[in-house]
Amino acid sequence: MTRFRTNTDRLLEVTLQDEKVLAIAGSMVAYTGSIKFEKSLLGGEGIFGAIKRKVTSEGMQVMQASGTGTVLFAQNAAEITVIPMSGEKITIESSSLLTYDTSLKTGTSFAGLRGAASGQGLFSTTVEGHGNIAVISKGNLIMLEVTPSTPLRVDPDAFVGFKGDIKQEFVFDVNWRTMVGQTSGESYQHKFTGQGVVFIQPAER
Amino acid sequence: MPAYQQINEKMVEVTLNNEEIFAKKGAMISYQGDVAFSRSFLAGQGIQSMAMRAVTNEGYALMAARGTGKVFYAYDGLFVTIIPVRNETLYVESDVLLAFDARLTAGTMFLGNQGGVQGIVRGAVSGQGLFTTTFQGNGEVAILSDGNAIGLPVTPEVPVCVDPQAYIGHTGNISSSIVTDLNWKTFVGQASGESYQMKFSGSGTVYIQASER
Repeated sequence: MTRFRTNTDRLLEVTLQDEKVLAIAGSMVAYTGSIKFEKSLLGGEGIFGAIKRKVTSEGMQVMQASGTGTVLFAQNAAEITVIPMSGEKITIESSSLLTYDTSLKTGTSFAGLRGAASGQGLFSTTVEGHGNIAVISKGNLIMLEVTPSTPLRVDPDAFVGFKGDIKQEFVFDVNWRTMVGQTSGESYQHKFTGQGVVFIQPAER
Repeated sequence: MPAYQQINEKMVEVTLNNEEIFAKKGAMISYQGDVAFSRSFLAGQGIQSMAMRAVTNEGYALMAARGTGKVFYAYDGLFVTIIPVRNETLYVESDVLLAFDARLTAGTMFLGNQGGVQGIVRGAVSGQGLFTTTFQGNGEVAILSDGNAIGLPVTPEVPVCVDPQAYIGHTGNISSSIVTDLNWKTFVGQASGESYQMKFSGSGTVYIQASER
């Protein structure tokens, strides 16, 4: 089993014992031991998954690191959070997914209208199964709980991902001022209802 | 002798007692006491070293701070790390240099001298020129990094491979070479983004940052 550990807030250390791990292409900063890096053409999703990615433009440039040793990953000095997964499903922006185990199943899901405002495409990446994922965020990753009695609204530009039994919808806060150009800068939000956790970052893209 | 103290991860304080320190031009953010700042052309290293730097393009614009007091340095919100140099040579990229003092001898080294043809390839790949800055002696150097700088230990049994774009510098008795990880996918445009690495072997420390230039 691969081991994920954050060496500092901004550096992820993955220990491999004749194993494989998938990561954003180009995110390796150093390694010891005998490791090979290869562009992963299918990203572990098979031909069908790869085609779906192409069509939905939820594109991930993924590479595979395989071998025995320790690999350090980092991306633009962004903060890294390791999330261990035991069977649940996490939906995440593909640009925030730094590294994940090959034991996890990834796919694309339709994110609804949200994409139009956040400019992140209409589709999100889903990760499912048992293993570790490492998520990057600008600033510390913040986890906010959503319960049936307390729905949560999030700025699409700060949204990173969510897990649990959550329904997402797109809400507008538009009034006559927005129409005459005096917008508050917060006209579109992302509303989450249900039971689960939403991940956001303290920075807006 | 000038005392370096880390104030927080992005700021360093240097105490001067009728002494002189060299720092990246424009990096002073505040000072206390009687300190004068001037553009330094020679950086205490003599004409020859300056001429060498001008020719090799391993140029860094330095200012000298002279006097008695405390000077605070920070640059562009980048992380600051104080690297001790103990009778050894520190190799560092000139653009990450924040502050050093006259206890250390600064020089410019042609990478090709160190690694032959491979040294030249290394400069070409990392896009940081073929020359690097060296410090020798006993003292401290404050360096800048995007994200925390990490010192990775290199031992004869465990060589370390580093992405050239994340490399900051190294100390110790280390030799470097270029390793390539090319396969058929690289040639059909499907590169992993990790086709070239710098391999450090020997014993010492390699410093990297959590970001790629």
